[in-house]
Amino acid sequence: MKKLAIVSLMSDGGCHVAFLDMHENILKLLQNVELVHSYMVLDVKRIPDSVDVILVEGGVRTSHDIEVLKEARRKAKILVALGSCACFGGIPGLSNLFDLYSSLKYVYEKTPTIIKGVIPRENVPEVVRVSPISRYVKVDFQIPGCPPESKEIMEVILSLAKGEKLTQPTKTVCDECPLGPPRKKPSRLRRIFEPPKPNTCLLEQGYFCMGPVTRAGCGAKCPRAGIPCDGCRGPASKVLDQGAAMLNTLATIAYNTIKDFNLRTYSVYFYKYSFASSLIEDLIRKIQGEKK
Amino acid sequence: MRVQIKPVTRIEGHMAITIDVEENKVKNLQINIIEPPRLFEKFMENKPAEEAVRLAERICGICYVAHGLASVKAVEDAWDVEPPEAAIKLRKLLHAGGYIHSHTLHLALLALPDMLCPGEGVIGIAEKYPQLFKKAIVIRKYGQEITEIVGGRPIHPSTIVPGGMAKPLSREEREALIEKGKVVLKNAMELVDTVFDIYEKNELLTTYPEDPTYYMGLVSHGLHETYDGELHVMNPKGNIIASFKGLDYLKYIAEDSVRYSFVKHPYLRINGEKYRVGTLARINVAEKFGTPIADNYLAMLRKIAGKPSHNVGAYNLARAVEIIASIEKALNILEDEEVLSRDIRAHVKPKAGIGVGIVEAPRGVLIHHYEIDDKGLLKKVNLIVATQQNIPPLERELVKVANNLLSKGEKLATIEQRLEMVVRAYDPCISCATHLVKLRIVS
Repeated sequence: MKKLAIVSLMSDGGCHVAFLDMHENILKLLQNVELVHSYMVLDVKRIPDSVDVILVEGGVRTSHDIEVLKEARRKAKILVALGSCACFGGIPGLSNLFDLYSSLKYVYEKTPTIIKGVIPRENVPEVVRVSPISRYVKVDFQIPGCPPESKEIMEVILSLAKGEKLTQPTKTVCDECPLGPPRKKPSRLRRIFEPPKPNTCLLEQGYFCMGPVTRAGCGAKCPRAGIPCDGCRGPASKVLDQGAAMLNTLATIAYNTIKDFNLRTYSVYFYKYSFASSLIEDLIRKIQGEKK
Repeated sequence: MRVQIKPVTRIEGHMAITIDVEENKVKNLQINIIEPPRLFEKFMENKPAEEAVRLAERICGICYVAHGLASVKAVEDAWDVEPPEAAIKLRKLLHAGGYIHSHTLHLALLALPDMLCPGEGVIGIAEKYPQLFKKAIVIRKYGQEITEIVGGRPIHPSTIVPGGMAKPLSREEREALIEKGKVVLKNAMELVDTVFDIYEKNELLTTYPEDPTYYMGLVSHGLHETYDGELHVMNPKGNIIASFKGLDYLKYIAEDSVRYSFVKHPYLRINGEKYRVGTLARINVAEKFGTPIADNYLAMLRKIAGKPSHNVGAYNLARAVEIIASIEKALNILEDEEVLSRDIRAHVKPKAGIGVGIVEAPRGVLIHHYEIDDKGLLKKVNLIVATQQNIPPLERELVKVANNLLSKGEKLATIEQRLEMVVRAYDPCISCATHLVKLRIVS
């Protein structure tokens, strides 16, 4: 039986929970693969030596993450990035827009409840810029999403266990959404506390809906619930940079509606899950590298 | 000699325990939380406050509902918005769903292996106790179904918005949830009976430390509460010494950061004492649940563990009873016609202000505190999350347990296993707390 492991780096554990959300199908999965490592549900402390498929949950944030990730790559025949932190850096990637030292200083020394503050440095790993795992190792397949769809996790594992070749989907969330596509330009931008009109494209109504540039596979759950897509599945296959592509879409249909553009605010719309893998991040790293 | 348990497994996140032993006694013990710090409190700055909800949910992949609710309550507090009654009912239903999923995940899949098949993890439960495993699956699935139906998605729900909820509940959805809920309640009672039986037969409480301490938890009119109410502080004798809400939390809670851990250590500002939160704290500070079946189990629990109970092992029993209470609460809400109302959004106008949102996450008191500017953007964020509050008393308890086992000449492997069991009773969620835990034994 093929061996499966789940390795966890910087994450909220939600991908592990999405794995468990196969519910009764876990029993079916366990008839096909042997789960040999998962810090959440097993007691095996180290990644075993030779594993057929390793799912990596989480992005890179510390020197410890880098060590564990490289160990996983050495021990895996196939390495899969599970979830948007592993694939693109995820929401924590938004912190790359803030100076790391000032962020640590605020969180560990300056919040209103802190009395004695100190930045932790003893017996804890070094903190580095958030990045997707592909900046450090070769990734064989991606299962994006925050969290990924449980059904997709199961299908990918079973296919890989059978040795089948996988392809990434090419459609966008708009292709799966019953509300779209937009038929006219929005008159103004709307924020999500304003209730939308029913059965009308959210982008057309002026909400930042990331559907046009985001990879399909979720069934457009959020727009169906009346909430704009926030792009959790990352860039669609032909999109190089999710935020830049969305800016481009908006420039075409609503160029005069964005005022006071600044990235620390607007990244929550354009780059919520993919800033750490954006072209701007590449540039920042290049400049920082040159400085060193 | 230095002993390290790294990582502690079957918990939610990455934690190590480093123990320096000299002359067969613990000289120094550190819980090293090495879970990568994601620094939410900083990068949430400058974001539109209504977007805080979906950001904050990603603090935790297990108790995302609680984070979403604390966040939206903080924004509504700053903006003086009152959601319609029906929206609050939907939120409480969603919260119950979150509890059912989170508590069942911990109790049946993470904690039970210690009691039934040590060392084998969840696979042991699935293979050796298939009936129990299937029951747990059915119960947890129900929690996730509630979250998907009310929240739009089973993990990281998207429908919580300032002013109310984005999606009403349909009559068909409601009927289906009531039907399933009745079956799930029966399954849950069987699971909880099993846990109580294991505890009583094996006198399990005696294997856990007694640690008289302070407690903090939400109470509403004497009843167990998770969404509204006031925070009560109980002293080790069982007397309520303070109650407060909102921004007053600053007068009662302080924290220190420490060199050896990414988790900040909170304590009571009024007397410098450590305190505990979570399932045990909640049943200590409240008189009862107010739902009949859970209250019966609570009486059983108090018979074997006392009130207040200071036994760490009682955390698991309290968790079991809270599963029942959450299903009963969900059913009560569902049976109320108002839950079908389409009036679920209040008018919202952003303004400058300070807001505090307090809820009980499955692991304990959760506080989101936001400062918002006149454009409705977040200027400052402070978070007090459940697990971090239990770390300081947990360090003290681990020293006690380790010393006791060392004095009996127990093997390192036994000590390691027992320390991990104590850690697990708290159901620590380390990704939350750093917003990590490892036990390392190095010679």
